[in-house]
Amino acid sequence: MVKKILLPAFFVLLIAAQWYVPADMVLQSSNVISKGTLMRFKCAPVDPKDPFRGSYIVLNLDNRDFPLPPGHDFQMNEKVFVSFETDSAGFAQIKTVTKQKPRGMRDVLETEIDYISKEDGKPVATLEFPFTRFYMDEFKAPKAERLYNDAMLTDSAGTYAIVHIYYGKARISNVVVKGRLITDWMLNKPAKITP
Amino acid sequence: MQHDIDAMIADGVLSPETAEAVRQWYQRQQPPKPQQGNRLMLIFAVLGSLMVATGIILIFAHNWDELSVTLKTILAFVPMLIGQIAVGYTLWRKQDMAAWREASGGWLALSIGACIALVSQIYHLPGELDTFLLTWLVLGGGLIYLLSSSVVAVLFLLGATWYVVEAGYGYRTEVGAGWPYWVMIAFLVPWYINEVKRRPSGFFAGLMHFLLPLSLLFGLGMFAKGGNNGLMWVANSSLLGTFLLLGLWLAQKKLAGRWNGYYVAGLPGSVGVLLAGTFTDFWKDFNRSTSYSDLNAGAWPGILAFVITLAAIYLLVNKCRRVTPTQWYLPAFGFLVFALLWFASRAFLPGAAAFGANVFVLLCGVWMLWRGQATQSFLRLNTGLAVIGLLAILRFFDTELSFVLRGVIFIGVGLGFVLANYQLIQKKKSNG
Repeated sequence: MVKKILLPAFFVLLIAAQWYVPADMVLQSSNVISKGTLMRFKCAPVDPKDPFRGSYIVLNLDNRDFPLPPGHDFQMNEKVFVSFETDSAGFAQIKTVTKQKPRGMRDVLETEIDYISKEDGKPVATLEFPFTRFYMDEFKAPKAERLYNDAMLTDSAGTYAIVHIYYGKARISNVVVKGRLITDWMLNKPAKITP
Repeated sequence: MQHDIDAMIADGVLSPETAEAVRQWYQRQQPPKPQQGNRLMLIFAVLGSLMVATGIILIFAHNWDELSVTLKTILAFVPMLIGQIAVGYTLWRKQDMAAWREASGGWLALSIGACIALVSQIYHLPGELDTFLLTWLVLGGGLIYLLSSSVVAVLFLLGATWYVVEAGYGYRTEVGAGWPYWVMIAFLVPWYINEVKRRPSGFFAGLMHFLLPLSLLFGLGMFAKGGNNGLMWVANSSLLGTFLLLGLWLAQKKLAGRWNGYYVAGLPGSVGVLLAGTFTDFWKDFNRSTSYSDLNAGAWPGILAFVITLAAIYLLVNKCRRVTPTQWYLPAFGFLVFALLWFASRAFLPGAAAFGANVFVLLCGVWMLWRGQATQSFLRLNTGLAVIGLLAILRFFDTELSFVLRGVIFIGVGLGFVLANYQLIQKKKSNG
């Protein structure tokens, strides 16, 4: 009798958990992309593989460094909150890095300090950005990488990642190469106005 | 046969009623043809389904980039949904059929990982492999007990082992990172014990006897932080000794049969560690200043060495208590000898520890040789000879004996192989 009740109950709980985790991933990501603030980040490519998610372009983002004040108490792997501003070329630049959660969190990214180094004797924090991978069809990724490398040499201003930031979370939705979405390049679609 | 029966009816040997009874008896002895046909149909049906499913996946994969994010997301959940429906149906109607439990459980376990991976790919989510593996294992682990599924249990153990290597190894990981591995092993153990009790000679129990010791060796490695720490060697040696003693216990209770992975890992492992200890340089390495990795490992190596050695001593005392000293299993003392030699290497010259290891390994080889002769077992006899031979080969590389003397030793060992086997063959022949 107990087994007749417990077994179905356990099954239902297990199914609920198996749906909850990926569904939460989908909902959070959709939320960030639809409601988040769109920002453009400059990048540089490599083409490695993830054993489960496939091939991806690594987006080595240009502007991950932030100078720290002398006598700072930041540490490697410490959680921080990053706010951004847009430069004259329209790319996102780090504005502030704080340990405490700021009041206006909407456009703020929650992340960690990757490492702290010194430049000209002054401490600099390099931040971890959670949008460094853009997954692609494994047969198209090498072609995308070549396109990208060429673009970085000839048109770096027209090459960037489109990222949405929303209350601490960030999601990358696409990569622009020479003014065109990389997905459109791979599908040979005509150029359209890009964000 | 039919012709003979007709002839016997014609000659009046068998009456028609008796002949009919004989025909029916023969028919009952034949394997039922419809069942054979069903089995073949099942194989082709499975192959056909796999081909169709693969074809559908390939078509979707080719057009994947052109699909909308919403459609991709729905497709990502479909395999998991199918698996959950199959598991639900199994629990409702086919709970007694092992094939349904294993197939549906295996499908669902794998499709959970596929779903999470696909969603991560679609939305370009960040995250490391160890986090992904942990999430997958936590969501799928319950299927082991829900379905009493051996396939899921084996996949779970393989996944947990992969997780501990990803999370716990590497110089940048925190000490103790990968600790959920031990929780997962504890979660798996009740199923394992139950499986061994229920089907001690079953395939999956036997497979686990091999996989679990290997997995535990990887798990222990997460505390080493990549350093060459002497105490981690003691911990590993004691763990191998524990495996050997467990293997002997399983064999005694007839719970493992040929699939005694603990014995297979424990015996060569225990002797192997001591063979490494026959080199003086091996002990010298533990006495130099500690490396960064050793410092990073903290107190864990010491704690583990102490606890595992204590557990192994308990098993050893229990084993030895039940038999006379002449029946003691000498290689089972290997872990204890190694631990004592480690202390000796710190207190005295490393050379003394190496000498001790050489003596003990030689004794083990001779003991196995003697036991092989006594029990008339070629396997034991030749294992002993192999240990002695291997010891001779290793000494070839680090002693300053003359070539002549080394040659004489090799000839002696080779002749020993031949004479010992010949003697055993003669003994077996004379005993009939």
